[in-house]
Amino acid sequence: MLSLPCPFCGQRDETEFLNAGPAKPARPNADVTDSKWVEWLTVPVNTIGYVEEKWWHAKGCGKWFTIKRHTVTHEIKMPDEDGR
Amino acid sequence: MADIMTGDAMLPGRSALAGRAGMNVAAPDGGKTGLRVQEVAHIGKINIRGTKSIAKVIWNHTGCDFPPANNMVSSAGARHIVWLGPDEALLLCEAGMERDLRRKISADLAGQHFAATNVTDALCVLKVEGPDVRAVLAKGCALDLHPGKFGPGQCAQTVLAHAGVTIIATDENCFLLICRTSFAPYTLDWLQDAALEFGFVFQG
Repeated sequence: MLSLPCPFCGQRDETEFLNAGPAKPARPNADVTDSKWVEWLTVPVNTIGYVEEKWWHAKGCGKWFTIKRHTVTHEIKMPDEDGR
Repeated sequence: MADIMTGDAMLPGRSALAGRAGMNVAAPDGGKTGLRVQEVAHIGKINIRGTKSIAKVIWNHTGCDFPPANNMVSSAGARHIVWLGPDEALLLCEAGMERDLRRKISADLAGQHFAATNVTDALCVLKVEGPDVRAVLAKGCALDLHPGKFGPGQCAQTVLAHAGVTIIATDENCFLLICRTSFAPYTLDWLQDAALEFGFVFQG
């Protein structure tokens, strides 16, 4: 069971949240090559290490936020202050 | 019909748990009842969405101060403001006052981006208290309910036995439990079952 840091409510149990999938890299520009586009669209990155994920505090305050979660240790960090 | 559409209609009300008496269970050791539950029927509830600056106008309007921190409640007499989320608050007021209050708030904020919704009948408020109230709630809730972590004046939206609830600590051993009206019978049944070992009283 994960314990997640909601920016509004603080540390809460995973059961209150819905996972909204990986935070994807920015959508490529329109002049992108086909292979790059397909890669962005369909190829999942299966990282060993930290991944950025979106979570929704659905049964709490309703806040959407992004965290960095280590796929092996489940260690959780807040992403850097990059506006996301 | 127009009244119903704006939420200002005065309809005859039946509280969510009316007629649910006869659920009491004596404490097995013959001692004090561990959990007492009471429905706070028809207490006015207004859900307010908007930025903090808009909310401040409303808060001034009700005589309540801004809650001092996230997940806290502020009170002025019979009116309470429950800070639910970044842009959401729940206003509790005297039974029957909610239509008037909502209309005044909406008039004050006309032209701004906000929503004030009368949710009085959508939600049910239960007052749960007693020496074992924290032990009972802890059975179905992942929140840290230690008095040092969740004391009077604090509130939280969380999950109690799979049902979404808002828990407000009003005193050391007294909480307000706000659930959906349709979940009220389930929540009450669950509370009774969870409190069997402590004794249970439901005062309609």
